[in-house]
Amino acid sequence: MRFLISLVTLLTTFSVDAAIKVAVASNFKHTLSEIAKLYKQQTGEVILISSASTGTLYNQIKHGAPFDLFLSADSARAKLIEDAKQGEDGSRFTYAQGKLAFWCPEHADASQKTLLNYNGRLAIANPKLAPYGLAAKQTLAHLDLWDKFSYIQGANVSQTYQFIDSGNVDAGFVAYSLLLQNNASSYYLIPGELYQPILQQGVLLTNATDKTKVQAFINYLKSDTVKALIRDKGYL
Amino acid sequence: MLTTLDLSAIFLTLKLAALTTVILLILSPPLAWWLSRSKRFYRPFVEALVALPLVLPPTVLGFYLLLSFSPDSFLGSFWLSLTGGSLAFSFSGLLIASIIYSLPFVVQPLQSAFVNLDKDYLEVAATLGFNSAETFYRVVFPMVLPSFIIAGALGFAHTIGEFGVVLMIGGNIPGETQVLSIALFDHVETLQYEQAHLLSFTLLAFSMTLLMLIYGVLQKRQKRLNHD
Repeated sequence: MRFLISLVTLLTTFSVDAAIKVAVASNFKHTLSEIAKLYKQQTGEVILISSASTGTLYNQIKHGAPFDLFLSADSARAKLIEDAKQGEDGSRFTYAQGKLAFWCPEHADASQKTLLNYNGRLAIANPKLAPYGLAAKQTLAHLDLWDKFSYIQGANVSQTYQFIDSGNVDAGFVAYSLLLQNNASSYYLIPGELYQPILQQGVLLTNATDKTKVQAFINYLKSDTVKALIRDKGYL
Repeated sequence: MLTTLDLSAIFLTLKLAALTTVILLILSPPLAWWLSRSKRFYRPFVEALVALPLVLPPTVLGFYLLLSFSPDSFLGSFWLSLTGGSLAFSFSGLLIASIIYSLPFVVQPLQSAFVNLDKDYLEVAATLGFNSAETFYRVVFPMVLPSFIIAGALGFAHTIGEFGVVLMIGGNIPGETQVLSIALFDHVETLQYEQAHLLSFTLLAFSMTLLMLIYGVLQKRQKRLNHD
């Protein structure tokens, strides 16, 4: 009986309802879990993280997934949610700005020259699905290189990273944050003027159970300490 | 309307499924036969190995295939020296993956058919002086034909629906690795629901028709045998 009671107490303490449920684009999951850890230390609030591709999360939210906050990998999908009145009006904010890098593990010090002289297949995230893929396409178009390569497309930027990391493709465009996270070397940071800013935006969802609690977490995300942490993780 | 890209995805999927099924129908019977007859101590190990794709999440299987296709690995480098190309992100790579992935769906129906085969027939065949190949083609095969059809249909259908593995090792190349399920995924992810509905309806109608045809043939055969 006592076991049963403690089990019930245990289950209720971990109750999902009490936590802030965040739907986050996969590329930011790693950073968010560190922020969540800090937030829990400071406030005791539990952040429950669900991660998937932005498109998948968008579809889930559209169909009533019980999330409190949506952290999209782009601004378009966050705006669509806001416009559809599934996000609180005016709550949309930029929480991070992505940096694109050209990664060529075999090349000790990669530079723009490495990219210009590169021959072979390039791994990129699918430009239709992933913001980093779109940025890669813009960069290549800017440098008049788009037609030069054949492309291996990952469904998202993490998968693109995997394609290169496993040695199946020699080079490609990935998120700078992923390179930092995995202590990778030999990359070339693409200058910001070659692609449209990768604005990762979040929006407070109208479905949220306790909006003040979620808003408090949003304010925390916008605070200087967290901004500095996000910068350290490879974002602008 | 279906775009040319969608059509090429459909064609590619059919090609992949057909080739996978043909190869599996050649590879699986001896394996299934051995599994149904062998008393070796390592048989359970082989049996478990064959069934493994049923347990492993497709993306996990795909991830390990991606690692083993890498030019740094044994399989990848062997393939590279053999063909000069890489296995990952190629049709051949998808074919190998599909064969592994659909193997249990073809082996298991055959194996259970072989297990249930009455031993008397084999003994009669032996008294008639048939060698093992003759026994197989003239006695066993006609008796377990429905199981062959089911095995083939399952292998084919399963390959058509394959997604996780292809997502991991395909690289989404139109005409080479962009199969139906991937094209469908792209449509949904890019919020092109109309295209997605159209494509999934095509897939559904095709699969339903095919499966109904196969089960219809089996039913007819059963009726004929019962009347005899």
